[in-house]
Amino acid sequence: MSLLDVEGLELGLRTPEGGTVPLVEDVSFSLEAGRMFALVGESGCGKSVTAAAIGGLLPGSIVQTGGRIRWGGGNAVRRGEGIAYVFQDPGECLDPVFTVGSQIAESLRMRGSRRERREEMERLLRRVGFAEPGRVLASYPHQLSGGQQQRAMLAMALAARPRLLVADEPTTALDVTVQAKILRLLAELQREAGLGVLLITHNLGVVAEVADEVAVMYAGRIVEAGPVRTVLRRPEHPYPAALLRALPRLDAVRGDELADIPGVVPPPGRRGPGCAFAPRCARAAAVCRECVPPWRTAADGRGVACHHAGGVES
Amino acid sequence: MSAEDFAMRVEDLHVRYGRFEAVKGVSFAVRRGRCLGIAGESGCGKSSLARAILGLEPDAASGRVWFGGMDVLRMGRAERRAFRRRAQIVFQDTYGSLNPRMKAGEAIAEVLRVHGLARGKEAAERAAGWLETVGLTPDYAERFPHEMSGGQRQRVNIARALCVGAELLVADEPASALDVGMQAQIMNLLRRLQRERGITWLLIGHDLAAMRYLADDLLVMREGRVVAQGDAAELLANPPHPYLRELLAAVPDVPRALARRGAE
Repeated sequence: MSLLDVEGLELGLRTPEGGTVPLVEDVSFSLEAGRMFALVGESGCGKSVTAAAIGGLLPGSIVQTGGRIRWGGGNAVRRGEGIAYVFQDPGECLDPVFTVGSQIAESLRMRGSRRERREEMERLLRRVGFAEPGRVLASYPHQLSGGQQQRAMLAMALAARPRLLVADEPTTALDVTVQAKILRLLAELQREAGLGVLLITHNLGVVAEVADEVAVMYAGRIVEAGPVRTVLRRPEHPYPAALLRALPRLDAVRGDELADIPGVVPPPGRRGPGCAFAPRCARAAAVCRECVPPWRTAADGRGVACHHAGGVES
Repeated sequence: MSAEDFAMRVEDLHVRYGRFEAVKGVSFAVRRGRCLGIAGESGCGKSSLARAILGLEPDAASGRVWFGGMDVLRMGRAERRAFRRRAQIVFQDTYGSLNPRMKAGEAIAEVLRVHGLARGKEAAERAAGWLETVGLTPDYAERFPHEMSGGQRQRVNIARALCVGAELLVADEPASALDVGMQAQIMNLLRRLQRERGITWLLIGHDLAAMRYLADDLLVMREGRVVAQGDAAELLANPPHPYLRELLAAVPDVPRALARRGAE
């Protein structure tokens, strides 16, 4: 049974006239316990608002206009229950005037005696890689590096004993060597604690390193989803295929051209009636500009929303 | 190679902010018409170095920075003015260097006017030409910064940097704030400008995969010092220093990760 199901999620941005402009349309996916699911896409594709909607963290300007978010058992997700978040900028999430210890204690929600809580905090900090948890507990956020702050955030997230951890660009602000360590840690925690992890990122390299499943979003919709190896090895949708070709790779040869993606992402409210990628797609035909492509599932476990996918046209 | 083959030579450069030394004695030469990549993680001193060699850290920098037979760190006022035209910089933040109330065409014309290169109608015409050079259609002349994407703003910044006749362009993480598709556009543009106009450039960045595409020579920094220096392709294929190996191993790379996980 899945841990969490998102079905036909629709999110809209409120307009001053009282209407809404669609931001996220018909987004469905399921998360498994002990697995990492990545939602990947460029800025403005709707991945972060989708993540916020799951935990009931939508800002006032954005409303859910359709769809359901439910735990695997069928119960609706109650705001803040069973879900913990880590964000891109740990420095902004930690309160500068309190010690790390007092902030983690808050996540523990007064479980157990003072001594038990202290031991639990030290255990959590050791788990996220701190050799001297006592010193970290007494530290203020500014006394820690960016990577250490993100570890402290992870300890705080785990203290709440979540079933689902939502990590929204957790390593984007960090150096690559620190990023690699945090990603490894996330993957370990997810396996050990049977935690479901929803990873929000723009970085396909990060997805390839740690995620089990991936959904690629473009202009508010999922365009392709499935097992990471299947989707990233040979994407069927032209958008993830173009993203992969635009990505600098380590095995490149000097003088190789990066295949850029011409044009820009259509902003919300200016997406046409058809496939939102059509204006930038080399394979776009009349049907692409007129009808939203249906979601098709393939034998290899992936789903694709493209009129040309699945051998319909070469 | 004779001295003319180098656009810039840096000898024993130090940058000190009070007691903190950001750059601890760095020497290198930039070959004319080539791209020198300067790579390292945050705090390694790469941005301090970029600013110092352009004379933007007059109080903190010491050493020698040779450009066109003159030392950038010891220039007089008139020399400095001429140098500002010949060596330019673009930053990661595409908004920061643009006036939010100035349309793209005016923003380029303004630079030409300030440097006394053109005014009025001629400046506007040359600005239009530069928009085309950096891959923007003429209607972009009428757009304000907020009416453009990050990639389009960065094109305007590059046009502003080059329109004064710059021979050396320092690009400090020029594409890091952009989405993948835009990053590729900007990097391809910079390389086209290098090839077609013989621009010499320094690419400051942390992305070693991008260096692989763009840099002819590479300098890897850590804690203010150079840990590896040489032909970029050679260094990245056979990293001679453990820190460079660690950096390379940490780069999230799709083909490598899929291969590794396929074998697991």
